[in-house]
Amino acid sequence: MEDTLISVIAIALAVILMFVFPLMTMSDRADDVAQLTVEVATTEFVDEIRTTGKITPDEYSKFLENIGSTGNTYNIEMEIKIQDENPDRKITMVSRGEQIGENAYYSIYTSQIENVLNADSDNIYKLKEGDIISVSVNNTNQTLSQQLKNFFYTVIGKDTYTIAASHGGKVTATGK
Amino acid sequence: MKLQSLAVMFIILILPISLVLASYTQNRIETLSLQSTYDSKLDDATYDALKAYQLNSFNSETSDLTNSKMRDINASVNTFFNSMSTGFSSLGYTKETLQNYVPALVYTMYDGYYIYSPYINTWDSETIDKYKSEYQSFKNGETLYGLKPYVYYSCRYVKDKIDVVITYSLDNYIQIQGTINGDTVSRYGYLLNNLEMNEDGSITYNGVKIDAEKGEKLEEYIYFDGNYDKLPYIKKNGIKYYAKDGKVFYVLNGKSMDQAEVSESEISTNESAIKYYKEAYELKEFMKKYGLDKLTTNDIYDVDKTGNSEYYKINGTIFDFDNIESETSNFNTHRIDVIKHSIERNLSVAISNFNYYSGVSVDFQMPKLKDSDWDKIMDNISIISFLQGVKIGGKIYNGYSIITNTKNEDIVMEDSIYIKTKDNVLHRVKDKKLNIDDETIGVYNINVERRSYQDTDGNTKYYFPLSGTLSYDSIVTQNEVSDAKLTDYFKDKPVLAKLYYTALGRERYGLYRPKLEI
Repeated sequence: MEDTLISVIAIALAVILMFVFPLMTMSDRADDVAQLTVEVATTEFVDEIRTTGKITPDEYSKFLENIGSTGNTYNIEMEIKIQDENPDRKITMVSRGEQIGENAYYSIYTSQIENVLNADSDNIYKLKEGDIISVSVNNTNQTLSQQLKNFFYTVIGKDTYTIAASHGGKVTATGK
Repeated sequence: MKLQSLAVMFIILILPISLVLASYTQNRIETLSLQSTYDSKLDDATYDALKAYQLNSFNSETSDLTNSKMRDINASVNTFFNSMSTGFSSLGYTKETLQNYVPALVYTMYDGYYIYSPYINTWDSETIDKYKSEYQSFKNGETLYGLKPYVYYSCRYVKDKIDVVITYSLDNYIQIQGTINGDTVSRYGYLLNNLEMNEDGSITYNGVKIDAEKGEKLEEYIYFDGNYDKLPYIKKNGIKYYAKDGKVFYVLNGKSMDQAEVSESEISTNESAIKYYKEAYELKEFMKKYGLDKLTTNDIYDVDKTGNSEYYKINGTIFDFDNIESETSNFNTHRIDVIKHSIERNLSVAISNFNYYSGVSVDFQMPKLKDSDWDKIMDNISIISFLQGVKIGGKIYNGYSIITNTKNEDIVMEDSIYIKTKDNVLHRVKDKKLNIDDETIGVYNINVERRSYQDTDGNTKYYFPLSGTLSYDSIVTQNEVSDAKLTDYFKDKPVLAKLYYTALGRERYGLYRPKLEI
C-alpha cells in the first residue's frame, strides 16, 4: 500500500520534472524572444515616424503584423503631443522679446490616430517638427509561460503582463 | 532503473543546458535592444546637430555666405559630439575619443555637400612662411578633423561642340558652365515649363500672369540701431534691404548699413517674382538655342574610361521641357541619379579611408542606404551621421542616421510658402479652410521663426520678423490639408495660384546664389 502511494507521488513528480519543467523553460524563452521582437518593432516604428514626420496606414499595419507574429495579442497605446507654437509667439510679442513664452502641447490618442489611418482618403497622419510621439505596447493575453506559472504559484495579479515595450521622442521633420 | 532516478538523471542533463540557453538568449536580447537604443540615440544626436545649425543660421544675417555656413556647420558638428557623449551614457568621453567611431558626417546642402572627416594636414614650407605668426600649433603630416571641400552635384556632358558641366540642386535650379562652340558660357536658373512671354513684356506661368507686388504688403519687424520697427523690404541675393524715411539700408549685427545698390522704388514695387520667371524663360530659350535640351545620358563624359556608364540610361533627352517639373520626368530621374552618385562615390571613399585614421581595429565600410533614405536626402538639406565599430555585446554596432532639415534659409521648397490672410493667420497653401481676401499674401515660412538680437545693454532679446497665428488646421496640425497635387489643386483657384506662384518666385529670386559672371 505504502509502496503504491510512493510510486504515484514519484510518477507525478517525474512528470512535472520531465515535462513541465522543460515546457516552462521553453515558454520562458519564447516570451524573451517575443519581448525582443516587440521592443525592436516598437523602436523602429517610432523612429521611422520621428524621421519622416508621418504615420502611414502601411507602416502601422506592418507594425501590427510584426508584433502579431509573436502569437500574442497586444494593447497598443499611442500618444502624440502636438506642439502649439502660438502661445509662445504671443507672449513674446507682448513683452517685446524680454521673455520667451512657453510652448504648449495638446495630446492626440490612439483611437483618434486610428480613425485617420482607417479613413478611405487622406489617411496619412502628418506631424510636424517639434511634436512628440510615444508608443507603448503590452500583451493582453496570458502567454504559455504565464499560464504555467499561474498554475503552480498563483502569484500573478490581474493586470500583470510579461511583454512590454515603449519608445518615444521628438519628431524631427515635418511630414508631407 | 527506477523512474525517480530517471527523472533525476534527466534534470541533471537538462538543467545546465537550459541555464546556458537562457543566458545566451538574454545576451542576444541585450545586444539587440542595445542596438535599437543606439539607433535612437544617434537620431537624437543628429537632430541636436541640425537644431544647432538651424538656430545659428536663423540668427545670423550672413548665414548664406560660405565661410559663415562653414562656421555654422562646425558648431553643429560640436553639438553632435556633445550630444553623443551625454546621450550614449558615455559621459566623460571627449570628442576626440568619440571621433574614432564616427567615420563621417555629411551635410547635404542645396547644390552640393560637405563631408566632415579626418585628413592629413599639408603644411609645407611655403604655407609656413605665409602664416608665420598665426597657426603655430599646426604641423605638417598631422591628422586633423574638419570639413572637406564642398562637392557639387555636378555632371559633365560632351556632345559635338558642347562641353559643359551642369550642377544640379535639390529643386529645379541648375547651373551650366563650360564651352559651347568654343565660347565660354555660364548660365543659371530654374527649369520651368508653361512659361509664356506676353507682347506687353509681362510673363505668364501655368496660365497665371505674374504681376509686381506692392511693397507695403511686404512688411517685417526688424531690430536695428536700438530701434524696433516694422518696415517694407526686398530680399536680394540673400540680403534684406529695408526702406525708412526715403532711405534704404540693410542690417548687419544690429546696425543699419548704408548702401547704393537698391533704390526705394524697387522696394515699393517688388518685381522679384517677375524676374524669377523671366530668368527661367531666358534659360529655357538659351538651352533650346544651343541644343542643350538635346543632351542625353549617352553624352555623359566617361571619367573612368571604363566604357560602362555608372548612371542610369534614360530613353530620350534629359531636359525634356514638356514635363520637366513632373516628379517622374527624365530630368528629375537623372538629377536624383547624379546627386546619389556624387554622394555615394565620395562618401564611400571617406569612410573606407577612415580605417587609416581610426584607432579602432574595425573594418569601416559605407552602409547601403535604402531608397527611403535617399528620399529624405532629396527632400531638403539634411545631415547624415555614421557611427561604427562600437562593441555592443556579441556584435559590433554599425549604424547611420539621416535627419532632414525642414526649416532653413538655403532653399525655398514648394511647401515653404505660407499664405497670410487679413486676420493675421498663416495657412498652408492647400488648407481646405483657407479664405482669400484682398490683403492675403504669400510669405516665406522662415520669416515666422524667432530671431534674437542684443540690446544696448547686451541682453539677448527675441522677436518675430513676421508675427501671426499659425493655422490650427494646416500648420499646428495638418488635418485640413488637401492631398491633391498642387497643379490640380490650383485648377479652380486662379487667385490662390497667382498669390502662391508670385510668392514662390519672389522668395526664390531673393535667395543667395553664387553666380560666376563671364
